[in-house]
Formats: sequence, C-alpha cells, structure tokens
Amino acid sequence: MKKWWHRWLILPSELKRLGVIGLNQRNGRYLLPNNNRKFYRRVDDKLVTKTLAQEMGLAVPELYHVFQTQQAVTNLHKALAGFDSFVMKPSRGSGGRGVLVIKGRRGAKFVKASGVVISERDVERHAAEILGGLFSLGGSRDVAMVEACISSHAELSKISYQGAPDVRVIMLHGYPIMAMLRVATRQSDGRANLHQGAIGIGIDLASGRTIHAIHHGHSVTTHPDLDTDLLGLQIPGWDQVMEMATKGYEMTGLGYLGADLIVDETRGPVVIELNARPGLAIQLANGTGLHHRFEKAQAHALEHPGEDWKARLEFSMQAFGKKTPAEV
Amino acid sequence: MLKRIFTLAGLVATLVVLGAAGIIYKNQVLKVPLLPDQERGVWLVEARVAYNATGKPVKVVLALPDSGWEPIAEGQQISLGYGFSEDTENDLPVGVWSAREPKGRQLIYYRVRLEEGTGLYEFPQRKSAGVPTVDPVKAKGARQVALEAMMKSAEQRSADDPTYVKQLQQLIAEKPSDESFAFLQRYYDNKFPDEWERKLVMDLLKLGGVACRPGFGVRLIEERGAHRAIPLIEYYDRAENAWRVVLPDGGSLDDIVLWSRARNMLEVYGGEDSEVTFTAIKERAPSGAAERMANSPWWVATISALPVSERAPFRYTALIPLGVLAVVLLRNLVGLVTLGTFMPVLLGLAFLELPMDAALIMLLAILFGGLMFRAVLSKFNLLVVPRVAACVVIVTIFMMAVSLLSYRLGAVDGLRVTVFPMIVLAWTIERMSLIWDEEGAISAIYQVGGSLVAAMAAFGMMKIEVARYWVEYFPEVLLILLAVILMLGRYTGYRLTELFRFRNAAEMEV
Repeated sequence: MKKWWHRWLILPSELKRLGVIGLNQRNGRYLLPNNNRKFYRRVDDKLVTKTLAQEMGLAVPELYHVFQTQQAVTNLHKALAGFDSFVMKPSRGSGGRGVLVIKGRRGAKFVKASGVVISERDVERHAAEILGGLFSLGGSRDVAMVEACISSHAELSKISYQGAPDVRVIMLHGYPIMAMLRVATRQSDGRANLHQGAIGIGIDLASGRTIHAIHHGHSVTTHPDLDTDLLGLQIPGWDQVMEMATKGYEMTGLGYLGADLIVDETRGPVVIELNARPGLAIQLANGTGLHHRFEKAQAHALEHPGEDWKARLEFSMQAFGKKTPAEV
Repeated sequence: MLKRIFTLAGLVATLVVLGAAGIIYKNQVLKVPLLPDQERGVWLVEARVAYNATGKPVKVVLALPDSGWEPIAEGQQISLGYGFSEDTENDLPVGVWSAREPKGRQLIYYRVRLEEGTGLYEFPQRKSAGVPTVDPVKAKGARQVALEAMMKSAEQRSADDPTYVKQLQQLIAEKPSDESFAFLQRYYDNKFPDEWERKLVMDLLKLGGVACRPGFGVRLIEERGAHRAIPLIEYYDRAENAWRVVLPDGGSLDDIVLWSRARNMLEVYGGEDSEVTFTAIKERAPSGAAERMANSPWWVATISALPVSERAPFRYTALIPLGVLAVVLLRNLVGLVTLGTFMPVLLGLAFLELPMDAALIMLLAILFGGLMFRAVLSKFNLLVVPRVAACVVIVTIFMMAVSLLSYRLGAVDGLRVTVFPMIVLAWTIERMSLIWDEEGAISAIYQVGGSLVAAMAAFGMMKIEVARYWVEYFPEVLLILLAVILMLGRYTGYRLTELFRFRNAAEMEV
C-alpha cells in the first residue's frame, strides 16, 4: 500500500516488516560475525582471487600481463603488443574504480569501450596511477593487471548501453540468497554501479529469468536508452552461473559474500571478482528484502552444517526460487 | 554470539558504573558543581622556572605577586627536593627555593589564583604618600648627548607627564631612523637584551625628571599559552600625584595584570640558562572545589593535578572524543556520507580556533582554489604522491596568502588559518577531484557537503560550554561516552538516510 509519506520516506516499522536490511544490520549481523578478516585478502586482491578460482576449476578472464613497477610501465607497448582488446585494472581496487576497458586499436592509439580514442601515453599514465595506489583501498601501493576483455553474450548485451552486464549473486554461509543483473545506461557511462545510474534487475534464483528492475530506485520495465524489455529475460548458462557463485564460498571461506560474473559469448560464465562487502541495492532490484531469506538460510545452515555446494544450491533454489508458493 | 553480547554488556556496565561513581564522588564529596560557574571567573596563573643545575648548591629567587592574589595551598608550590620560603626583598615579596645539589634541567612551579575584578586587575592609579625622588641617570659621553637630545625634543612636544610618556612610547613604537636613536638602540639592546625598550624609556623618564620604577605583567589569555613576563613601567604623574602603569611601547594593557614591581623577575644562584614563563587558564569551578580536587590522588584529580602549562593543551585534546561521537552519530544513525572518517573532527577542531563564518569561507576558498590547481595538475600526468605533495604546498601558499590578505584588510582572524590540517585538506582535494572525475560533480559536492555538516556538528558538540566543563572537571564522563560509542557499535537498526533510500520499497511485497 502506497501512503502519502512514501514520497519522502518509509517508516522503520514498514521496512522491518518487508525484511529490508540496512547497512548497520548488514555489518553488525551478517558481515562482521561471518567474515574472518584474514580471508579478506582472497577477495580484495584480484590476483589472489584469480589464482584461487583457477584452482577450483572456475573460469576467469585470461590474465595477459601484470605491471609490478613503474619501470615496467615504460615498456608497456612491448608488453601489450599482441593484444588488441584488454581490461586494465588495479589488483586491489574497490567499487569498480580504475578499470580501463580497451576495445581495440587505431594505429598507435587505443579505443576505449565508450569509443573515445586515447594515446599510449594515457594508458601508461593509467597504469602508473594504479601502481601509485590511487584506486586502492587505503591508497596503498598496488599492481596493475591486464586481462582479456570479455565479450558479453548477445542475449545480455542487447539490453545494455555499452559495457558488459554482470550478474551479482549474494550468499550467506555459502547459500545463494539473491541475484541481480546490472546493466549500464548512457548515464552510467558504461559502468555497472547502480548509484551512477545503472539498472539493477532482479533474477529468479531457480529459473534465471529476470523478474523486476529498478533505475534510480524506481521500478522500470524497459531500458531508458535502448527501449528493450528488461523483464522475463533468460540469463544464458544460469545453472553454471549459480554453481560457480556457490563454489565461491569454498574458495574464500567468507560467510557473507558476493560473486560477480559475466557471461561470455563463447566461454560461458566467468568470475570477474568476489566481494566481501556486497551492497544492499539488490533488495530493491528484486523487490524483496534480504532479511527473511537470510534468517531461513542461517537456520538451515545451523541444522545442516558442512553441506557441499550441490546441497546448498539445491536448498537455495528450492527455498528462494519463485516457484515456491510462499514467495509468489 | 550470546557470549560476545554478554561481555560487551558487562564492559559497558562497568564503564558506566566507574564513570558515574567518579562523577558522584566529585559532586558529593569534593562539592564540584555539575554546572560551570557563570558568575565570575577565577584565573589560575602559573610561573614555571626552568634552569640547568650545575651540581652546586642552588638558590632560586622569584618575585611573587603582591596583593589581590591568593596563593594556592602550600603543598603545590614546593617543587620536589627544594626548601621553600617566602621573604621580602626591597619590601617586595619573593619566593626562595633552595637545594643542596640538584642535577640537570630543573623545573619549579608556583601557582596563584586571581579572582576577576579584584586587586590589581584594573591597574588603579595609586595615590602616592609623598613626592618620590628621581634617581639620577648615570650616562656619559655620546650616550648622554643622545639621551639629552631625545629628552629635549620629546619634552618640547609635550604638555605634562602623561603626554611626555606618550612621546617616548611613540619613539619606541616607531623607531625613527635618525642616528642618535640607532646608537641608543644598539647600546641598550647590547646591555639589556630582554628589556632594552623599557630601560631606554626609563632613562629618558628619569632624565626628564619623572620618577619611575619597573614592573612585570602577565597576560590573561588562555589561548596565549606559555609566555614570558611582560616588562611594564610605573611612572609618577606629578600633576595628579599618582602612579600610573604603562607599556614601554604604548601597547594596550587589556588582559594584562601586574605580577610584581620587582626589578628582576628571577635570580638563580648556582644554575645556568634560567628562564621563567607564565601560563594563565580560567578555572571554571569555584576555587574551593578546584583546590580540593587538585589535592586529591591523581586518579581523582586527573587534569587538575597537572601543571597549568600542561593542562591547557589537555583541555583541548579531551574535546576530541566529543567530536568523534558526533561523527559516529551522523554516520551510523543518520547515514551521512563524509570524505574520510574522522576528517570532520579535525576540521571541527580548526573551527574552534576561528569564528565559524570566517572559517567556512576560508575553507571553501581553499578547497575551491585547490580543486582549480588540481585540475591544472592533472594535465601534467604526475604520479600520485608528488601530485598530492604539490597540492599540500599550494594549500599552504593559499593559507599564507589568505592570512596576509586578511591582515592587510584589517581582520585578525585570517592570521590563524594555520590551524587547518593542511595535509588532510590536500588529501580531501585529491579525493574530491577523483570522485568528481569518476562519479560526477554532484556526488563530489554531496560528499564534501556531508563532511562540512559533520565538521559543524563536531564543532557544535565541542563548543558546548557545559560539555567543555564536564570533560575538564569530570573526565570520567569520557568513560560513559566510551560506553555509548560501544553500544552504538552494536546498533543494527536503520539509518535515517536509508528511510529515504528505500522509500520505494513500499511497492514491494513481503
């Protein structure tokens, strides 16, 4: 029921009834008790994540090169000689900061995802800034990694204005709780951050179909720039996506975890990064609060300790998929 | 889980009980009032004598104040290992400290209390019993000629004793570039390095037939910190038949009180490199209670047990937790976004030193200028650390420029912008410009605005008179504050901004 005050704010009691979780509750109840600090490195350092994922047999974007020192950056054109398209990013960046996507070359110059042409000098400077720690947590020194540019599956790229849409799955104790697809808009400038104007689309855990979408906090059904339908879309390779995300728990040991994947045209789903502090916008994207699902998963985890990924996945699809009558 | 909450609850309860016990004890037993005394102020003035002992027997003679000053309980003025006695020298009170063979750098404290509006505070003209005799000036040769010439010219331009004194003060303040003044300045500066101005004026007074004697003053300004005694001159106005106190350079006597009329402030026999400095702070509790507190064991007395010179910065530091609490409330209960977690507290501290409006304008000017410069810098493809370092230099130069400019325009506030945490500001500029690039201007302004709001809240919290009084006289309140912060750490409810952020959740189904 929409009331007059909902134009400005919602009452805490209403949020509580809807099971919407706030940042304090996320941190105090789920993040801090379940995430051991010593495991953070496994997700905060993308090079470590990549190695761990490969050990688990999960597909990741191919690593082309790592720039460790400022000295190495001066040889950039040699190091990147054979690669027409690539993504350069800080190994310990946060919030998608410092990610440079190069789609191709034009002579000695590079073409960004947005179509802007930049010089080799610009790419070198970007690498130097990454090494200087400009984009890293706490501003500490970092390394710049260069990896393959994922070409998003056609089914998904048709609903995104530049930039590859990525799937975010949130897990508690290794049980997938909720998932959303994030697609870029003209306003978000090829990025997938919701507060910058990207669209968040909730996904039904059981079927992998999109069920609800928000843009700037409001429900939408079509893409504002492309006018394509956003709902009822089937994510390609959904079972694989869920399997890979679920295995992220074995990989990291983090109780509260977010997995970001992109579905590649040829390779299928690949793990882009894991996140120990996934945000709460996923609730709005799904039109569902996290709290009830968290409680259910927590209770189940207490009753059935040490379940393997298969059992966990099965439980989640059963409990949180739209098919169950409780949630329809 | 349950165990963790239990121990936290236990810790919180312990802190609250300890804090409350301290407060109740001080209030009930030591009779420290719960609210500051607004009526009248009491100044606590401390003289701190420092010298290097050479291993020989030492005698330290410090001029003590005359009347209107109330010495603090016996125990405190005697520094460890010294015998102390009060005496008089030329009819003026002095304190004498003696020790057999002290070693190394020695410190001696002497504290007194002065109630506002009493005694010597206002420099009353003192009627004289009889006309005092004028001591002759022993000057020969070139100095005598120069002094007499100067005296003559000042005398010609004056009507009576006060105007004659004014002429001399003007001479000192303006330092004319003629040869005879330069000669005298050189001579007196050489002979009396600390007080050549006073000696010169006094010699000219005596030469002009005006009786005069030296004196020392202390400045009653809290922010001033430790300072040397201020040389004063007391001269005899023959027309009014009264003594008057003036500064050698004609400066204002506001906030200055007379400490002693002694010729010398301090004499140390058997020691080297001696100096005496004064610190004044305003006591906000009534004298009786403050004294009882200072004489209690250290864990009760806390700040009051410290020498006054150490106490002043402590008062300031003890305010930081208040600012931090404001930031915790704003971030975790309100959900305000700030640039850097505790940057607002540092800004709030800076605001404490400056008038609010001037501080805000200056801060915005510096941020704006810094951002412009940062935009220029980004064209040169500099590495991060040198770029931020360049920003620090620019911010510093901005501050100097703002200070000079505001000084030229007649405002004194600008002079103290140095209290702004420059490195924090430079990083703020860097972060702000990054957010500007990555997330747009609105996001950057939003976050800087949040930081400013938080800084103002922290400032407001630290500015409350009662709160300042409490952290100074009941520092136990910090334990309770800690308990509150610990409990806030377990708050898992919604933030105020989330009620706005999730307002569309009303469309959701359960």
